[in-house]
Amino acid sequence: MELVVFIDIAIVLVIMFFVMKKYLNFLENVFRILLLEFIFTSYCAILSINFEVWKVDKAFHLYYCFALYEVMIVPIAMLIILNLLPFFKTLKKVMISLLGILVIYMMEFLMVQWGIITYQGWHAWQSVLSLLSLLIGVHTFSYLFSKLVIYEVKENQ
Amino acid sequence: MIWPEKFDQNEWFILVFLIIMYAVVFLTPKRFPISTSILVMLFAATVGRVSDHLLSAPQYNLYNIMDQGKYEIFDMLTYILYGAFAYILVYIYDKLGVRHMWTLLYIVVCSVLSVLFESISLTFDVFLYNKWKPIYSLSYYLVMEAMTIYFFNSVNKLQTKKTK
Repeated sequence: MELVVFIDIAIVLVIMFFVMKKYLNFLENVFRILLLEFIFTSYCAILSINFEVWKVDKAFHLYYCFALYEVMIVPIAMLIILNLLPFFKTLKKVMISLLGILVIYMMEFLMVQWGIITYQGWHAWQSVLSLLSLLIGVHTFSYLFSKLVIYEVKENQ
Repeated sequence: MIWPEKFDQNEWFILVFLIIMYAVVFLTPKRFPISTSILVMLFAATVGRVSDHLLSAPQYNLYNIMDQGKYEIFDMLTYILYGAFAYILVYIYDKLGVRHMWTLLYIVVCSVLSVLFESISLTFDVFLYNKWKPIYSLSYYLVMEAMTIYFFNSVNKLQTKKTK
């Protein structure tokens, strides 16, 4: 049941990303998804393997739920939020970011409830703060990348 | 991230190759936009990171990178090294103008060379195989290098369209 729910969430997010109106172009989206994948899988490895503050269940179907969460659900959900942000003004941007982070955290909450991961000296606020930092960090890096792409296009014209 | 317990041959191997490969990256004449280079390197590092993370996860534990089964700072440097390899792969591909069926030969040759390089790195304990075998790496490199070249071609096409 858990695995089916996580697969469905991942599919819905992928469909949502492809049908939504995107502000960012293909290159910017590729840059963001690659960066998100790299940072978030590293973050999960540090928490679950190095510090062992997240204990991931060893059952295969539960481990796949966790893998889906770190490799697909969070990066795609973040990418959707980052594509939505440019359509709103400052205050609404903050609201959308916080709402998005809350929705992503709900997935993590679901994992904790279903015993996919167990917190060992870890707290919910730490996860929310980490997700927010990830969003801000990736947004900053991709802003710099967009500037570089614009500069290169202007230079070649 | 964890600092290695003992700074020995595998750490030196990664450091030396990191310097050599990035010297090659920076010293070769520029062939494509910096954004393309960044994307190709990031693509290789991320694909390497995700596949290593899934294959060397404690649930499967097919192999480990570096000394410990944990995520060390040198694991990260290994992924950065993958980025330089991918850059050189597409650089030579672009410079030689490899096209059509020659691409297949190019991918096969590069995959075999990658397996050879991995075998050398094995002797330096960069990788510690548990249930993994070198022959599996050949299949892995065939897929990854084909994907890298396809990714490079797609990005390059888009970049060319943008500047027109």
